[in-house]
Amino acid sequence: MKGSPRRWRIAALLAGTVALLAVLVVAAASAANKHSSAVSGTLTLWCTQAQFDSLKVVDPGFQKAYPNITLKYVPFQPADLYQKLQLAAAAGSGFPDAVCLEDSHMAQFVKLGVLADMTSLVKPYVGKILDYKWQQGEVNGRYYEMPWDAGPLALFYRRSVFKKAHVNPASIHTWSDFYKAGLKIKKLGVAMWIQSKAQNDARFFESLLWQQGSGYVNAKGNVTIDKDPRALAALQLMGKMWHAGIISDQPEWTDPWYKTINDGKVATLPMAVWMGTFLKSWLAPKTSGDWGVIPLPSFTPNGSHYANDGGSAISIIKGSPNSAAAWAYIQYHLGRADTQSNIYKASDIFPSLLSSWRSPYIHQPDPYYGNQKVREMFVAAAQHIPRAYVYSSDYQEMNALMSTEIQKYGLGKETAQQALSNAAKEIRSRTGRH
Amino acid sequence: MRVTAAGLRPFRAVARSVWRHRFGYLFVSPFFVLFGIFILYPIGFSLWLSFRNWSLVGPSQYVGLQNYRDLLHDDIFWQSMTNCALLFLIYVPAMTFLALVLAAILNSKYVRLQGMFRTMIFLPYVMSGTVAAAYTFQLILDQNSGYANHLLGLVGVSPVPWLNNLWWARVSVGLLVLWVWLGYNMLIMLAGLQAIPPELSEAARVDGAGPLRIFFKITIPLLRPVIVFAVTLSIIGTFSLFTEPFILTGGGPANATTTPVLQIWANTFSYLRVGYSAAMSYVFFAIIVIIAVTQYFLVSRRDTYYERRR
Repeated sequence: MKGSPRRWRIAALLAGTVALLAVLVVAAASAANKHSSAVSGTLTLWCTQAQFDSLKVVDPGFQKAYPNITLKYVPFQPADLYQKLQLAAAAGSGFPDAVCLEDSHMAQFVKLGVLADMTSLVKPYVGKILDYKWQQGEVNGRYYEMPWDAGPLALFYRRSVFKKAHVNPASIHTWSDFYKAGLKIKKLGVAMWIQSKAQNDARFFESLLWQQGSGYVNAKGNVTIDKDPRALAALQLMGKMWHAGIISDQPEWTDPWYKTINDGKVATLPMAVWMGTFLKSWLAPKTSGDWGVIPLPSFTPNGSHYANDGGSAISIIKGSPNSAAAWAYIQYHLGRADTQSNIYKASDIFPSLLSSWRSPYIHQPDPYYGNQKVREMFVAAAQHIPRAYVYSSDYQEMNALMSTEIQKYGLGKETAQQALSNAAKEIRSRTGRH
Repeated sequence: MRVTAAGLRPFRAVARSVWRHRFGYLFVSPFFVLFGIFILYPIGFSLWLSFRNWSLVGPSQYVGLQNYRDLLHDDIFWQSMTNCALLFLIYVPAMTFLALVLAAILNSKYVRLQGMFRTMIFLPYVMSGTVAAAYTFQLILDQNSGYANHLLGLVGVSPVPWLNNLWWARVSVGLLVLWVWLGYNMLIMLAGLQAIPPELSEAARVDGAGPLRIFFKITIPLLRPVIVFAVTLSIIGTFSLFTEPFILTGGGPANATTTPVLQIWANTFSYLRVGYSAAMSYVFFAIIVIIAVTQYFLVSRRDTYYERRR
């Protein structure tokens, strides 16, 4: 096809303008690093409401440092956020400038290719942030995230229930101690912990895998869950506790579940640090003072007490015209000891930035936990979280398939080994992994 | 190729006719344009996608019939089809019969406050609050603290595992769907009843038939086409269920209430296997068509009354 000379001229003019604009943007971006007031633009950020509530804690300081950046927060439900982002990716437009992603979903979006390569920006932070946090956002030495919060697990327990059952929390070191305490507490008509059989979401099972440094796959990405004795131990532990009736069978994150927690009908919550955010703010504010925290029980007397559940990061979208502003925002909110410890203080979103743990606030007693210095405990737990292979680019599907098998196991339709074998078989055939 | 004058003639006639009715076509065109963009194009695009691998972003690869072959061995997809068949058997006969009886009662001239009753029965459908209703059902059906088991406990029935047992979960989804769609089906039946000339039942009454006999010998046979229509809609509706199981059971326990649409949705948006989902949609569509058509030929028969009237 041959275009008229006139059309060519217009095209050349357009290309020239675009090139000039690009040069200007790059120049502006590099200048931005020197003078904070030079960074400008409207920064659109997609996160969940809870994440915005905690990020906003340090916004006044950010606005002072970067007066020319206008923040546009767009809150989502987590599932909606991922779907919207996928649709934007498919359409090639409608993106925000930066987005909060849970670690569990990070690898999928890295694989989709919608996230900007942040290697040069975040490289200085490697070694200053918990090591395992980089696992999902790094591929072949390139980094696509700035880690934010970690989800160290611990055992939240109800002081009054333990006292009434004459159980000393300090005596619980292993899951077998936990089991024995559960038998005593069961006599009060109180459950030790809650796990639904028919609607199990596999999250607790995954925490037990993580605690043992295991996961659905191995370091090469091959499915190992059917041959891994650690996975079998995790599932059998759940089965043993269901069988003894020390875990009550109830779906989580429903009104009846909240009521059980409020009424003191459950003695412990082996959950991540972020559970504190929910307990304090809306789930059970009236139970303040009656909670305590001890390390997560281990599988063997010398075994690991450390696991992770959840956690998130912020990524810049590839091709965002406001990437300089986005990085300024991320660096201010996630990369500074003062802002990260303030966010932790205000909202219990636990920082993975090591320097933020030096804040004196970490050593203050927390009245919600009967003036226990719980933050010291979470710091101690977070340091030892191993790299594990629970999350991957196929995590959502693995989680769904495993949930189904745990449900069948819980309802007595198959054995623990059958559940793991079936899950592994389905995962292999659907994801094409070995 | 040369176009002969004879070959052009019908084309010209069509063109002339279109031009003569140009304003008519112009006024109906918005529908066809939107239909083309939002219905026809996606249907064609899905067919094309069903032969490819695509993860929503970037180029797709042609894989021939691989998606369809994988689907043959997809236990969860076939389980979802079975679930819908079971669900259909659980609630559709009950709902259709109940809708028919309610419509017949509300059609009789002896019932007062007909408008109020009609509105009340139809209300769950109009609320369009399937989401809200599903959450409410979740609270009612909770095994430990739900109202349903509380009330059953008062009469000495032990707690029912509404959402925690494979079969009860299907019954629970069926109950929710029945509650939402009963009014709609009743309305269809009511419209059908009002189209039946009153002389027929009057004549039967003169001949000595009682009300039950009139209902079974006159009303139901004459209503047959309407019932077939309602059941066909229920087949399509049951196999395309999404919101109700999504919220009430999440497709569980152990996939007992998952539906084809839930699987299509999960494969598209959670697992990013868009081509595979497209193949699933086509197989799912073909099966629904086969079931609906078979049902139509099995149940409907030549309607002598209407034919004679024509």
